[in-house]
Amino acid sequence: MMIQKYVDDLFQGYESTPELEDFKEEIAMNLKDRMQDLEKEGKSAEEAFAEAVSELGDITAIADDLSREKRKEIIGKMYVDTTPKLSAGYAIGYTAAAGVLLFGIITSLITYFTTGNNLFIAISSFLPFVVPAGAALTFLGLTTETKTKYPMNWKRALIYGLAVGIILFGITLSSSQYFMDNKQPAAILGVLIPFVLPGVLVTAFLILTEKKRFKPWVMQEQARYQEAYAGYYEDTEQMAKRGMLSGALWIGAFGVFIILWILTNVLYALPVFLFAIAGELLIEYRMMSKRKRNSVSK
Amino acid sequence: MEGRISADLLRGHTDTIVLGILIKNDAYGYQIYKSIMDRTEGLYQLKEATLYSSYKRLEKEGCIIAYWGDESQGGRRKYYRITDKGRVQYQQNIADWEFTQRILKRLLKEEED
Repeated sequence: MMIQKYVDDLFQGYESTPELEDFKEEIAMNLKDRMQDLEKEGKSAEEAFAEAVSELGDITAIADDLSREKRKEIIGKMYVDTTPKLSAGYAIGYTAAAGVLLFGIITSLITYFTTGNNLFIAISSFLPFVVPAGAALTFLGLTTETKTKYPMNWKRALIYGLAVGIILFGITLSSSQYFMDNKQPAAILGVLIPFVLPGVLVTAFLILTEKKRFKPWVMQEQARYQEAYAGYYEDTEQMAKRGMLSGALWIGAFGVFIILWILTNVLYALPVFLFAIAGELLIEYRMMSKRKRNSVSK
Repeated sequence: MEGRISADLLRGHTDTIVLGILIKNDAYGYQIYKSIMDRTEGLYQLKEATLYSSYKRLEKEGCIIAYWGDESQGGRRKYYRITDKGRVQYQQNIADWEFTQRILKRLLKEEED
């Protein structure tokens, strides 16, 4: 009884948590055992108690941990500003990229008006600005740590940036071709395909193989969300993957379609879409069997 | 000259000592405490609080797991069991210590040679 009271007093004022109650029980039991042993050696109950307690030492540091850890967790989530600060280098990078982009817009507008509204030249003069700016902004955006996400690996982000750069290059180049005086549809597509298509495919591949960069608290939140809406939605991650897969499939199919169209004629190109539909069905089938497997294993 | 114990040095090895005891058998707090006392023949006065923090630390690292015993009378006891990770950690700590000891010997005894 003496021990129980002592332990209770020791932790008076600490917030009670299951961990702390556990700990109190453990200490009390060990003290009791120690006292018994000391009494067996011939010490009086008071002596034994005093010695056992002195051997215990300062226990409050552990109690601090056990009763406060919980509180800290909650406080941390609610009040601590978790937005990471942007480093000086990144701030400069963002500003520079935005500046280049703005400069490009102004330059191409000036060109547009001074060349008697010639869109071909205007877009052409926009190209050297939008390509590096778009690539840089993509790279910077992906490698910036945000409140919810960790930064991406810089090598991967670099590939993203380059892919976006190539896509922008292809788009601006072919749209400028479109406004050229004696335009040729083949030339427009001829420029579009070698740049945009590989860029899009690389991006699609990267997105499909993306690892999650969410911070732990976001994941927890998501898990809670999914639990709450388990009956309403399918696994959202699966859905996103599926959407991405068929997106890539159709973009690819369209690209092949255009190439075949240019090389031969429409009649030979059209069957590509039949293959795409077959591919779509395959994807759906795979997803369905996966879902079934998941629900069985659950 | 008779040596005295360096409490700081020993405290740094509390986790390894605890793992070393648990590697033989599961044990509860007071058993572990007593076995340390017995082995050092009272030469080293370890506070139980140091051990408790060690258990908490080891538990968090996944080196040991705690479970309540099923004693029927006189209250239950909390036992600790070493995990596979704990065994690996123990071997690593011993290897580290042996290596450190070799280096220390070389450094500290240099003057004598």
